[in-house]
Amino acid sequence: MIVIVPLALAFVLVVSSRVVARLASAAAARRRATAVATACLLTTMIGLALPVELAFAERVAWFPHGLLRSAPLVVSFVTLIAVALAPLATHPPKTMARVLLLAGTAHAALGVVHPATLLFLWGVSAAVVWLELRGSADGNRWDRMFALYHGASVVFLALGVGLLVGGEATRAFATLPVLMAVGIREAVMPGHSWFTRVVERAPMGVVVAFAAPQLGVVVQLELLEPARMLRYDDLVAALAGVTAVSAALLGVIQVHARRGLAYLVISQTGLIALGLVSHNPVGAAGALLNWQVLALATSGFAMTLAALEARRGPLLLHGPNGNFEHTPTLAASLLVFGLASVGFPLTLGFIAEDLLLQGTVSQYPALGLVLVIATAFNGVTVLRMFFYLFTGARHGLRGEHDLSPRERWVSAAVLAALLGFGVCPQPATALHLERDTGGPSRSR
Amino acid sequence: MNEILLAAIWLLPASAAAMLGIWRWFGGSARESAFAGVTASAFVGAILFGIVLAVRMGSSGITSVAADLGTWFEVDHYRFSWVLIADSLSLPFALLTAVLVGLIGAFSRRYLHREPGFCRFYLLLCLFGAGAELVILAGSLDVVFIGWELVGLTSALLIAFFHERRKPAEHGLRAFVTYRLCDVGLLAATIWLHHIVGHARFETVDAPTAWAGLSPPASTTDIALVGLLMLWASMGKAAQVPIGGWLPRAMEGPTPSSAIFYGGISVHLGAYLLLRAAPMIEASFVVRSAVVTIGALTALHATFVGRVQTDIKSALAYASMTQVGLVFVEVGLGLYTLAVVHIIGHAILRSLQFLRAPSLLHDHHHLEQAMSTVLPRTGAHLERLVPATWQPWLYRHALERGYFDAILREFVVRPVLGLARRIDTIDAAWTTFLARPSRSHPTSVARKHGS
Repeated sequence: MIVIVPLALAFVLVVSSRVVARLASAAAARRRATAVATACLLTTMIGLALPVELAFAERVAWFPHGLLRSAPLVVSFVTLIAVALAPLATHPPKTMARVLLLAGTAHAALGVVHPATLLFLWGVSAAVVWLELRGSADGNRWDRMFALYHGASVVFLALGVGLLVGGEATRAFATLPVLMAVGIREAVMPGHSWFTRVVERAPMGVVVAFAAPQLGVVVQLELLEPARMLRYDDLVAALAGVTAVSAALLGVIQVHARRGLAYLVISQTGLIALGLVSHNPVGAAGALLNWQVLALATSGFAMTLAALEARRGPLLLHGPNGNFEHTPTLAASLLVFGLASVGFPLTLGFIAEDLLLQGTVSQYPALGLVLVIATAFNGVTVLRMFFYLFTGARHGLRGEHDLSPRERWVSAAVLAALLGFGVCPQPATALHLERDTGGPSRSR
Repeated sequence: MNEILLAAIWLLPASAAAMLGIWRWFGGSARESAFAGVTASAFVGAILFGIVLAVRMGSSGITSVAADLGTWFEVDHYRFSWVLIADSLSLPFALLTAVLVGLIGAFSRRYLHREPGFCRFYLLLCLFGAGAELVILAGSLDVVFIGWELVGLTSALLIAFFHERRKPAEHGLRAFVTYRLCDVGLLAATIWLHHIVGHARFETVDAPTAWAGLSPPASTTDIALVGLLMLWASMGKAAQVPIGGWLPRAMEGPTPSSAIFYGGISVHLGAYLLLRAAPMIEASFVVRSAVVTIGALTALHATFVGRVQTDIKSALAYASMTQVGLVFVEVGLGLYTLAVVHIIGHAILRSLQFLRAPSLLHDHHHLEQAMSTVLPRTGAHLERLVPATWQPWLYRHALERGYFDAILREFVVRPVLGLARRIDTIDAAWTTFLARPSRSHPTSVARKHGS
């Protein structure tokens, strides 16, 4: 199965990453990467708006259908956020090239729907992050820790793919290894520990480009949903619920902003995983919208934190240690991104959360009520970060500057999408309603 | 026409907040008169539309107007509809809110003149006004939740208004944590009602009140569950025991916001929610008893603690808590009309007291000059009713604010956060173990030689 637009975007991004890697200056690399990401986003938006459907071949389409229809748009947004808001100090040309490469692999996973291709891209994207983690300044081998987790994930996925393509006799047993691979990749507890360290150590653009496209969701939808296999829904739901609630609680106590962010993301991936096993259209739409929110709002939140970190150094949450007056737009940006990511009303996050909870309660009533607690804790994490980073005395922050025009316009575009779809959500929810329940693939 | 008027009461403050926010985001000038003017126009407009709607309803004998603003989003069987209701409960409250917010806006123009956060204050005031109007005019719990969250957020941000001091930020966060944990009750009640009944709309069928309310589900267990969740939700905003410790701390915010939030509107929204849930409360003895018990305990606790406060705003905060506790008791006993009158009267009086608080000494001297004598102590007759042996104990209890904060800190917050810290430490140790430097690594060799 070939899906033309994401495949073409993947090609453009991979070629661009080669070009960007050879540039001498980080500023030039960011400029070039931003131009490419903007072009990719505009192409996706125009393509989705056009009522064109390819007719010459049965197994070729312009865009994915069904639940993944909006995925190229989401990945394009993530790419733009990750490159345009990336601080120069932590994103030299090679790192910027890796961000583009990660975005390219995410598009490619949507462009060629085949288990072997997914396995290949799964491994490539992990290898890109592993390269970025090599040579830690503190002497610890964070790359080894990452390799242990993701090596296991690749092995599990290879086993699952092998069982899937092995025929009807083995297909039924593919679920467990695929779920284990996805569980590690999506940082579902107990396979989550690598993620907090990667968020702490890796450049934020790489973290966003690796985590936000949620390749695990794509694998789950492409490999597991269509096939008639053994199901472990109750087990997955329990683990996802535990992940969502515990990560939300752990996020509240962090003293390092990056670690707090990591637990916020883990909690959200738990919510998404739960929505996917709710097996009703409301829960599935909620899960997919939550993915979009993670991609837009949480990525925006992460990159705004990175922008603040570039101005101020490591961000600690011991108490109020900032000043709102010097950087009001940066502060407002962080607050709105954060609130959107935890489902605050009148943002897309609220709709995602509402659908997810309504869908989950119908399948797992008690678990659905417990999840409400996770969303409460996540809200506290966001406001605690905002208060501790932007309240306090003025001393020592005179040189801190507000959002630059580039940062301001990119943030405004993403916030407009979050608030616009928050007020008029039908286009966003409608993208998930053409659910394809018949064939072996989500694309046609 | 009535529907348009009803929608405008909420849309005007909401549009003003959106306009001011977008204006500031793109670097628009921070002219005080423009911000105050937009706010005043929005709330004067809301008052006028409210009055016209009330007159039209009164003249045509209509008791309730429902405005269906359409479906916000819809997936499969689930639909979120924007429904607003104007009836004998919501319309007086909506008008009261618009009047008080408008007055606070006019008062703050001079009170906060040249304050660095002037524009931020007005933006948050408009957002609060929009949120409060939405809670009041909502036709379903789904819509209530949206306004409820807006009110909570603006309350926390305004407590932290003087953000250069440490305490306002910490107290703002404390208030937000309480709100957020109590909002769990409202969200869970809404979701559970959708699960068992299919909707969370306010209906007039079999209501024990003159206004629309939540119809009780068939099962008594469900009634008790939803009723208790609603009570938990209302306790947060209404600062009821044992979780009301955030209210005196909230006095760190500017006095006009203290007046509108903790004297006028926000602190009464919990009781308002219970009035909407009256059919549910009426149908369950457990819920009714819980509402009366919580309200009575709060009234007693706050009246004792309020008497030992040494600053006027804290004393007023506890006075608000006392009155809201009494309103809870009235709701629990089924005295709904009395509760409505009590809320409206208390909101107006307490807002005025808050606004006069900075001039307290001046007012005191003025009164003493007028009476040509020292003002007598108030409440001495109540103190005589308490046995002498109890008085020291009560005094300590009041000074320690009923020990509620200490009990919550020691028996709830510390164990939960301690467990979370233990898990986090184990998690960090595990990843550090996996990433320990190899023996040949220079850092590892250096560490070895160093030891």
